Amino acid sequence: MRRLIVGLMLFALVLAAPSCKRKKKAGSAQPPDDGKLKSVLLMADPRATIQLLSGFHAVENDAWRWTQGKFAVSLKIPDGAAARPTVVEMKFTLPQVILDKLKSVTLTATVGGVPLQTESYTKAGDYTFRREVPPSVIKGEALTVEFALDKAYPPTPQDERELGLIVQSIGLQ
Amino acid sequence: MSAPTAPSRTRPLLYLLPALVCLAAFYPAFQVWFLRDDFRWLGLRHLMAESATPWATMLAPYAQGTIRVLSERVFFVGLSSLFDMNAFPFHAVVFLTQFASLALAAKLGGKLTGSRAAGIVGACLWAVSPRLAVPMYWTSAYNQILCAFLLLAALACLDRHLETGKSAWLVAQYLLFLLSFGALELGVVYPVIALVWVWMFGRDKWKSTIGLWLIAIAFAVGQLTLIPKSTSPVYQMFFDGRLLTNLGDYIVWAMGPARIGYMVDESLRWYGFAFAGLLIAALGLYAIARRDRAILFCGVWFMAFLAPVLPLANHVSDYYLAIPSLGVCWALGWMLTDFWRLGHTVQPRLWTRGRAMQLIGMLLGACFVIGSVWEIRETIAYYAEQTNRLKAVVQSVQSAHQNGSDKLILLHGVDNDLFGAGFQDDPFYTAGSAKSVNRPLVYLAPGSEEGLSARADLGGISRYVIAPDRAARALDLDQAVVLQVAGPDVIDVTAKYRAIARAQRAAMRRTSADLGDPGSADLLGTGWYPPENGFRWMAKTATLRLSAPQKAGEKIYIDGYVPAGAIAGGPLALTVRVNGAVMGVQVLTKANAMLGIAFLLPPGIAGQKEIAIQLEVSRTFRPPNDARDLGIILSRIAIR
Repeated sequence: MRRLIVGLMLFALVLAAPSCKRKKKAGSAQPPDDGKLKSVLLMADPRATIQLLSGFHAVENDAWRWTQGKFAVSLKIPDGAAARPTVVEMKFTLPQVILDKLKSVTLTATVGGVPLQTESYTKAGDYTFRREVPPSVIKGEALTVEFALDKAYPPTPQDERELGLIVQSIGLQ
Repeated sequence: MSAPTAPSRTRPLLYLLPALVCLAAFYPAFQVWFLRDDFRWLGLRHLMAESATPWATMLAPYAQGTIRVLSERVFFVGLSSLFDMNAFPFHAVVFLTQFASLALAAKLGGKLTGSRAAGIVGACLWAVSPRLAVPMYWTSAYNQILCAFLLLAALACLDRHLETGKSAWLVAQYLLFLLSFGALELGVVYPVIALVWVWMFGRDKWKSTIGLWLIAIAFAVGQLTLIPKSTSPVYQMFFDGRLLTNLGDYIVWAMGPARIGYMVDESLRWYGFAFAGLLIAALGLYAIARRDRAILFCGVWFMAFLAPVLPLANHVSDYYLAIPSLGVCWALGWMLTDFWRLGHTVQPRLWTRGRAMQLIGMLLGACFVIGSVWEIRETIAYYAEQTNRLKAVVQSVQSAHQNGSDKLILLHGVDNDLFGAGFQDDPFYTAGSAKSVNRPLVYLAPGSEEGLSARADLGGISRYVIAPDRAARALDLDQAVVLQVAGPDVIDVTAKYRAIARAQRAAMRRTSADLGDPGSADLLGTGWYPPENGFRWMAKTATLRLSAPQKAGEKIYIDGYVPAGAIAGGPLALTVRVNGAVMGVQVLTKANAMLGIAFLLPPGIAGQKEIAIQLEVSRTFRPPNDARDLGIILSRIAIR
């Protein structure tokens, strides 16, 4: 009995030891948020998340995000944009798995509510979508840019997300 | 069953051992803040203060139609009145109650098995049961802890009555039994436990349980007939094959760290199930070998306290095992103590069957405790993180509402874990950041609600959704604050978000203007007077801009009112122009009549970003005591 009690007391002390803390994910150190809007959004930048308005899934590999079929961002209008042509640019990957299912996708974009020229893609690969922004919408501090695909990869039991493109960055230049 | 033999002066200390083990296993629960239903209970005192009938508010049935006066109403209203939203005193009460239960469990387990050591080991195993994790960290589940204490205390009083014959112990048992209904309805099965205990330790006094049965039956009838039933599917009862599958799940989950795969890591899933299977087999063989009534009592304890929740097929919850799992732990404690003793009884050789049993017992016990504590710590760490994120949000909202400010709060970056930690239970109202539960001031930033899962039976997500237009307007008028949740931190990003909201508004198709709404002011040009009660007066000429139609065939609709003064001088012509071109002229002749006209828009303007609209009346008038030159009253202009 005595040995059992001593054993139990020792056991309680062992239990009381702090449990292993979950290891924090080792991410690259980010500079503090300066409270300003950005003209170019890198998908992995946590300071940019507030400018991702809708249609983005979580960051993957500290580099990119899957989008849904429709997605939108808010971008700071670059300084001096009113005096020179401004371009909206999105760098993305169209994976083979999407094209195997959808055959082709057509990307539509509107900037400040004004539609831009669409583009269709039939081959997998890395792309840059670039369009000039109509000068009439360059006013105020920021612009809303909305993207829409004509088709998206539907949710499956394995992945319940709707999937569109893999986006690395979107910006105004 | 042999008589316990420890010296009496060490006895009280022995019964503190399970409490020490419990504290060692569960102390991280003190780091958990409030969670989900807690906020409803914490907000009860505010609701009582607002209510004309505070006692009726306090005693109104909640959840599945329950009125747990002690464990929910008195516990939360009392402690929150003293300590507001400081979680520490709540956890302290939970721990102290459980310490008392563990001492009683050790005492009764010793009596049950005839071995004080077995009783203490059984209580120590219960002290680390992962099925107690939820009631230990989540204060809303205090009902389980308090009910267990009251029923164990009642059973201890019954036992003393059987030993001493004193009726005072019997009266104490009845009082504790009655109080248990203020903790949890589960007390209704206590007469079964009491009857089996009397059968084991004092059969000639079986009549002393009759009153328990009468009280239990009266409570059950009252509960079924007087208390309104919940219509929520969550608490719907099913009496079909799911009873057996639920029972199977609960038996497995009662075996210590059986859910380690779910709580810690999916890769451990089969280890948890394998261990549970091993333990079930070992306990089964031990029960057969022992053939003792004490094992039967353990089984009755498990089944009796589990039976009432088995039909809740949509609410299979592991914390329902908090009380039943004590039956398993008593039996397991007895088995492990017996295995331990076997190693000391026969020692002719180094390796004997007895030593093998001792080793097996030690391994089973060690696996139970290590796995259980691992599961407990991971579970609590997760909820500590989520509730402290919620605490940061609630406190940030409180700060924003300091000095009586009633600005709207827009939250950005709320994920499912954070939302699920309590957003649907009105934490902001509870924390005093809303004047009334029906007048919310906290919303999710427009669009950020996307992808969040909300329980429909708790009102869904709609109460946190705000129209982008309203959010932008509030930001423009400095009547809103935007807080971004970034990991454990909450940052004020109002200035940044204001520009985003303006851009969203500019990009938005705006095909109508409600002229009485100040929010439509940015669409209006010249020739308008300030909004009145749902309308505006126009001057001789008034202009506005709307988004252009998307397809040919759409019309412009103009709604308003023609006052008598406007046509006192004869018929009045209203001309409508779009982009400078006349769409139509309407001659108004009827005084004090509603206006509702529509003109077809030319197909050429479809697809443009916006159109310029001009309305012009042929003359104005001045009412008495009004210096303004008035045309007519307009309430809405729309394109569709």
